[in-house]
Amino acid sequence: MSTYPKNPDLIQRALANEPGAWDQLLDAWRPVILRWTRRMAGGRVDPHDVLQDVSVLIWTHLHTVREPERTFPSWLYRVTQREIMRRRRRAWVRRVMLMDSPPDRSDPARGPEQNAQMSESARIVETILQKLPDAQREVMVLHELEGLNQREVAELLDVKLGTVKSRLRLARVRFEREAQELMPPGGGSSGSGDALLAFSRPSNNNSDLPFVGLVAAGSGR
Amino acid sequence: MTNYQRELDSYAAETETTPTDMAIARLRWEEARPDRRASPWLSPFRLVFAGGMVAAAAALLLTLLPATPDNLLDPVGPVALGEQALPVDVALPEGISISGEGQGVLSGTSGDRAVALESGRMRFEVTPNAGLHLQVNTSEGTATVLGTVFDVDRGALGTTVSVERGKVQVDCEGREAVYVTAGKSETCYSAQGYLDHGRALQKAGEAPEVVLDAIASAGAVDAEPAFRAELEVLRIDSLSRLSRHDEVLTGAESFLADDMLVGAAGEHRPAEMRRLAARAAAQVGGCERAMPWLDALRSGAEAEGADLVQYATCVGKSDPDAARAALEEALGMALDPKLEARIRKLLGR
Repeated sequence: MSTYPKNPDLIQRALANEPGAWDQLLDAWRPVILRWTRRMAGGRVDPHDVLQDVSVLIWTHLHTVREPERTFPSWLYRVTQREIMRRRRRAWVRRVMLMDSPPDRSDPARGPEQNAQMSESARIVETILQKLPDAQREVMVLHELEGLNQREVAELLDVKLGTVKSRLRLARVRFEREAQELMPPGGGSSGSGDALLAFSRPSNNNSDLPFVGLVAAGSGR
Repeated sequence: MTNYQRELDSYAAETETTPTDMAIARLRWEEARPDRRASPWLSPFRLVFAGGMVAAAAALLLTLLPATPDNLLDPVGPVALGEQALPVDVALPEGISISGEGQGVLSGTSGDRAVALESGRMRFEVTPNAGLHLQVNTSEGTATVLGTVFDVDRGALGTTVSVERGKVQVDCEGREAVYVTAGKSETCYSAQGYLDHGRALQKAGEAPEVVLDAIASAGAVDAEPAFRAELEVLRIDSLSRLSRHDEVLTGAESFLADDMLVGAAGEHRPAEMRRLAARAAAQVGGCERAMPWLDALRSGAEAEGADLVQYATCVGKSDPDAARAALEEALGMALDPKLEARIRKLLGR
């Protein structure tokens, strides 16, 4: 995975209980697990709770992973997804217990100030992402936000490349449709409209890397 | 898609892991780090007992630990109630007993317990007026208890809560919470449950409104694509029976645009969607609107007799030969006698 830690040696050293190896391994993957959780669960669970549980699972079960040097990222992703789902169910139970209390969408680790500062556009993106079916949301997050190319997404999810492409296309269509409803006309929610970054790739770009080009609105480019 | 990358970038930046995150994570790990790598039989978060061992384990805990609040189970976290659907018999010191055959996870502290029931049937007895709080949750719903005796049965069709004594609040996903009193039961359907229920109503000749109402909350439960596809087919078919043409068109278009649904649906479902869309389109926008759907049905060799008659009606004036060919084609099919008579009349036979 291009944006994820590549540390086969570290995994082996951790499995051999070399001093400091476990801490290094966990430290390398903590940012990834927290990002996955925030972006997949959208504030419906505490990412640090998920991280803690996943860390324990790494600690207790890494030795059960076959070919961990190769399969560790997809194993970790599956484990994280399971923990998110489990905690989402629990969060739902808590909501029921509190009767009508709205879900707490703030992220405890970010602190109230940072939460309050989350931009309106980011909130809208989060809302839209949470409306997507799980399968579409994960490809959207992994490709558009995590920066994996489509082949890497397929590898991480253990699905065919065609499946990723299809899910991504559906996710983009749905995202666009929802965004048009939630964001002011003319594109970006911030409304300046002078330079907009687009999902669509230049026609001569057949790479499956996430789009990074700039489309200047009205510039004719 | 265009124009929303900036918002995505902003969201990505705002959900990035910060140094504070890392500090919190390290601190929490150091505080709760397990002493050693546990075997699969002893993880810090879950004790797994196979089936009937639960009773023995619970009895042992009850024996060893004084019955003071927050002691039972809490030091080790949730306890699995059965690996498979094997007998479970647990008495918690605060006054809750759980018995039956099933698989689930018990967690929480005394006075505030939660059971995540995965499968099977379990009976819960909660001492009344003791300030005890128990939730039993499944992915279809939650039962919240205030001193009662009740059964929760989780199967493929959903979760059924049957109350023997007292009152239980049942909150199904996507539906208003209801109170279930003694002698009554309430079912929170799974996707399969919604589908079977809707189909059974349709088969029994219930009005399409009743079918639609029965499956209205199905979207709130987790569902495999195959169930989602069949539920959507049932919904669109019911809308069609109610002549809600615009909704049929929108529904069919969305269905056919969703590769996952189409892939998961039965082989003939896409053609059925096109057929319903063609009929709805003819009602909403006449031949002009219906023709793309009819063309798609013909080109896919999916057109039935009624579709071919509709097609012939639409092209009759502009292309009589094509209309005649379509009607001839229809006559080669097994047809309803009335439709056959109509076709012969159109052909002048």
